[in-house]
Amino acid sequence: MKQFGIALLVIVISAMGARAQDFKMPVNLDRLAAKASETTEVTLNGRMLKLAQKFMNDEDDAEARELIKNLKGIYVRSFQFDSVGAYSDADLEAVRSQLKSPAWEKVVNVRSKTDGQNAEIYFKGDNPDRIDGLVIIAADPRELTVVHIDGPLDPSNIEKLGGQFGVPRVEAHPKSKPAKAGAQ
Amino acid sequence: MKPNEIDEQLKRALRRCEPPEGFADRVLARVEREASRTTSRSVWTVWRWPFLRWAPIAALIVIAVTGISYQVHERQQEAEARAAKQQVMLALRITGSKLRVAKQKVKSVEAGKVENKL
Repeated sequence: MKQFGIALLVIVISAMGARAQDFKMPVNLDRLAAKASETTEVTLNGRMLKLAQKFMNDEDDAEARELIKNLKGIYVRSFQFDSVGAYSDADLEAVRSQLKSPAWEKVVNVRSKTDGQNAEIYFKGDNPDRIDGLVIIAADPRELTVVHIDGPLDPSNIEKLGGQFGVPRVEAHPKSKPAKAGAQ
Repeated sequence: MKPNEIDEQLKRALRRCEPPEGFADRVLARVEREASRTTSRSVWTVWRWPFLRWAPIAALIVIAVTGISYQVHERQQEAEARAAKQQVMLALRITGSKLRVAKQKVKSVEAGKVENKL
């Protein structure tokens, strides 16, 4: 009976741990929409991604189709503001607080005092050949974007992600040291 | 009544007598007539049931409604899928552009470090 209790406790704790690794778009981000002059919100769960794949049969869509094939969700919140200071660092605290080690690793952290363009990139998982999730926080004085890609991503796919869809390629090095760059 | 009288009466009653002329033909004709009338009446009776009378129309309506619903559902799903595809492409574009910004920043910082070292 005691062993059963311990086993149950272990299961509950692991389940809680697994849940703690999950990232959810904080509700407070959506409140920024009221202050924003332009808002882009994308919420695509696994079902919607599967549905989208049905219509991604063109040759041009092949890479995007391959990229989203195993994903569980894509979530984007992007806000553009007319004035500086429409959002604060505290608004991002609910995002950052979920992206803790060991589940998440910050691989890029750029903070620029010159133009105020900050970028943080987090990878989920400890498998060097695969990333289990990706979160990007891109913050300008007048723009804030949070991207969450939930699900397995091949590092080469991240490279594709940067290179396709009308933007140049980006070289991804998962598990590389965080580039704590910029005039911090 | 004496037993002999009863016997006599029975014999009289049960004595063989020939049927009137044409009796067999009339019986057969009537049997045939009755049989055909029963058949036509039963078909008519069944057809008069409201359910069966409307069944073909109801079946046609069901088939038509099912077909239309299926088409509407297909079109809705197609529209939903097209919208989802657009959302996917938008999300990937935004993600790509943000990755590019991060990359440019990292590159510029690295370049700055190299310049400082020089």
